[in-house]
Amino acid sequence: MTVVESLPAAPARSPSWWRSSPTGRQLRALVRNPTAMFGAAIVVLVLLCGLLAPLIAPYDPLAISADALAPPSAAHPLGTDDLGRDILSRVLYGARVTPLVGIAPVALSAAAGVVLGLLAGFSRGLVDNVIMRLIDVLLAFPGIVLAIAVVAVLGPGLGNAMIAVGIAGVPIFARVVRGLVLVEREKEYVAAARLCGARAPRLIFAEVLPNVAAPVLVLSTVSVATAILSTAGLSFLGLGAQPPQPEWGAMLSQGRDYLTDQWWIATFPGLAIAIAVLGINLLGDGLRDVLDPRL
Amino acid sequence: MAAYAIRRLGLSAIVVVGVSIAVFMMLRLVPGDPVSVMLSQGSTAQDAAALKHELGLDRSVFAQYERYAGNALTGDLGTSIRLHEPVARLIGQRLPATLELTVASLALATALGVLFGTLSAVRHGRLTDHLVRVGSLAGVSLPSFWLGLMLILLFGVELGVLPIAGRDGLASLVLPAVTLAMVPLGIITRMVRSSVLDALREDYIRTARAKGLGAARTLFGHALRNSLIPLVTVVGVQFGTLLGGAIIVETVFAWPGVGSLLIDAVSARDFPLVQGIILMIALGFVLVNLAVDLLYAVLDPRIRDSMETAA
Repeated sequence: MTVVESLPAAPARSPSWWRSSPTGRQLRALVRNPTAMFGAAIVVLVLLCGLLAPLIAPYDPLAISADALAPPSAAHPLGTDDLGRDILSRVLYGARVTPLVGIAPVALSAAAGVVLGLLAGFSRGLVDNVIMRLIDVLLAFPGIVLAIAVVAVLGPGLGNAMIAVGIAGVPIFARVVRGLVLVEREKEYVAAARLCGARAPRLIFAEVLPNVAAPVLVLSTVSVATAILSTAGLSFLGLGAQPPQPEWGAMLSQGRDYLTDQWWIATFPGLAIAIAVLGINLLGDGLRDVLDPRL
Repeated sequence: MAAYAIRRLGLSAIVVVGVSIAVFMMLRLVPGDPVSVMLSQGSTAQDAAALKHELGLDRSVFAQYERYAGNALTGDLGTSIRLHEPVARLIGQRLPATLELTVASLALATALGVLFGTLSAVRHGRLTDHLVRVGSLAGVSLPSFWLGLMLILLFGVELGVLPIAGRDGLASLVLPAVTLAMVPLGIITRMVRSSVLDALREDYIRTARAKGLGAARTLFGHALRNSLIPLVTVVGVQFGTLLGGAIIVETVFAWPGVGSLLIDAVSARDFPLVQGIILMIALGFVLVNLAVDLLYAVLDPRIRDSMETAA
């Protein structure tokens, strides 16, 4: 018998993995959490609406018609706006933008925040001090104020609004990651890796980073909801998406002028934002319970 | 306590300097020429040179910052390009309205948050608890700009019982304050709930009950009292959220505060006014955080002890 033959075979991902491994147990707990699953169902529904919008939308979202300001009817289930555009079609197409405005800013916040947090927590001393004072300065601006300041510099537009919301989220990620790294760096596996000759970049990215991933994932999920609300808020203020783009915040802003007589123009895009954000928050709450009850 | 207070004041001073540099740099970070961005069409080269000189852009960056910080320390935040009035005066005119709105919202959110959070913890696992949890999650999920419009539609347009815009008496404060209070209400409710739940499981509560203390006295005299200490921090943080949220809510309700002034200034690219308002909001937030930290240290000696040890 060769040495290779005597080694046990790598365990396949069988039902026992689902029961015994930590990840399997966490996934099982998540699937059994009814509120998290309700949230996940809403998120999937919003994603499907966006994905299938060209197939299921009854009209072109940008097509102007003579049927302006029409109330909800069989022809236009959610009514039409001041230019006769079908609100249902625009809400469905708006769902295509939502994943982008939710995920892109958070990706920016997480990437920059995680790197800054890892560097600060791992290096301590001068580097830590400089990074953390910078983060303190950014934290002195309430999130939406910082985002407005960035848009004021870069100029209005959906892309700039997403960058602004992403920058506003950096200090939160950096703070959380630094706190986690300060705990992790004292653990035995880091000392063991160091003794084996691992250098700082390897220690930071290969050893510590995977161990702070779960809380970062939870924070990211919750931040997606905040990013959607903030970007829609900037669009509502006229600083984000510009007409005629079917973005929910911008649609809501356009409907404000017609609120007293044509309530449907502002109501349905806002309802769509609320449903999407509620779904993400429910899913995020469930993830937090399962992955990291500390947050 | 004095050592902690001095250390905390020092940290705040560093942040204030950092904030002033960040706000000062805003204009310098504008892609392209900031002067041409701010000037209206049809402006001459002389207008551009005059504005450049007025803003101090024809000097070195260090000299510009020195002048900016020196002027800011004396209350001179420059002159609005669009309104041709001193920025400090414009902010002073609008600030009372914003403070009125944020303080009213914070008071509402804190009072209702403590009530709902305690109720939810005491009725843990029952229908009331589930309703409060769903309600608080809905509170943080609803976009304030949409909620505000829906409240206008219901109470202003349909029922006609409350004013829908402007600042004219207590009645006009109701809808903006309720709209702005919704997010902090959700957060405070959740925090109080979990804090009271933790406190109710503590040994001293069991001891108090074993000594024959009634449920109400145990709750109000012991559990609630101890769980309200972290509330100070949450309320402080929420003040910053409210200052940010006020920008949107003021726009929805045409509330004449600094938030709506800021949005008008951003749209008009009136940088001195934008910078002045953002500086004022950030400094207000730093001051509130400082006050909260000091108050927290007075309430909970463990905090200042840990800070003094760390120092």
